[in-house]
Amino acid sequence: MKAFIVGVAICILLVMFLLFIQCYHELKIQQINLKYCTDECSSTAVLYYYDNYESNHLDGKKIFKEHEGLKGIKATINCYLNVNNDLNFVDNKIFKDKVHYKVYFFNGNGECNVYQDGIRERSFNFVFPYLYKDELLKYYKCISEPNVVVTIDIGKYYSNFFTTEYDIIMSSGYEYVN
Amino acid sequence: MKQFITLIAVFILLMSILIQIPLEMINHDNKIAIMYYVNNAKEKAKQEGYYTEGILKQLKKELSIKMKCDENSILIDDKTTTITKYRQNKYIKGENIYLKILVPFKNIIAADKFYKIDESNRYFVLENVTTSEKLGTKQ
Repeated sequence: MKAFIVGVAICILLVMFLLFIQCYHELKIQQINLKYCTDECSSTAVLYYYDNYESNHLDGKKIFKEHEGLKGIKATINCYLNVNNDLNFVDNKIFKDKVHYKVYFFNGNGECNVYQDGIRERSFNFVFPYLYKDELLKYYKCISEPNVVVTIDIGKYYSNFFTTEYDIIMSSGYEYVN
Repeated sequence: MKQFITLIAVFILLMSILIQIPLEMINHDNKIAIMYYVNNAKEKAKQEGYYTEGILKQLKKELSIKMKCDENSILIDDKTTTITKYRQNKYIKGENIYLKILVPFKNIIAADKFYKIDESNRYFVLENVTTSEKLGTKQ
């Protein structure tokens, strides 16, 4: 009987260990998916900019069509993360928080516009090269060309076994090199 | 003798859990590889304007080697963009390049035959969307 109890105890321990591995691997897969999503968001947003024939005041500088870029970012997030139009996860047990995204448009004319969830938050002037510090991930990046930086926060990861203490965040910048 | 029989009974249960742990690691590695190949194909499609036959063939070949499955068992959804999309001056929803791929994923449970679990028709589904960078020529 003693051997049987010990055996069952080992079985339960192994099952717990296995569940932990499964949850942890799922978290890593979601992080990689989010990384690809942010990459795609920034590369989509950088495609839309004013041409010379649309505006006579560009002087060869790259100015982004921010409202078009934001539309592209939202559509990309909807597809990759499978969220609804309000950026809430639908029928998802591992992510329950709302998705937030922050976009920095570093325009060629030295004006940077910051958008939080598609709404303009603030704008400031800068001079190339500019040392950008990400608000959520605290990393530094040198901005030497017109650039779009997208940071997406999908909230905490809830599993049956553990919940992350931190939010899952990824950031990506796409640079337009002249 | 009683102890020996108990040990055998527990050992069979233990083995099925023990061999599941390395299988989890292999499956995780395979999932990352699939995502990597699909992302590479997406980048190529971005340049070409759509998923050409060559891109899809190359993707299927890479996935079939990695997953050790037949190329025909990898399914591409009908909604996948196979018509050329061009770079636009503004965001147009219909001008996206879309891909949905279903990769057969067997061997999820190590002792499936022991537990009599049917593992056929299980797929790892991936979908992504991208914007075309292909420039159209003016008439």
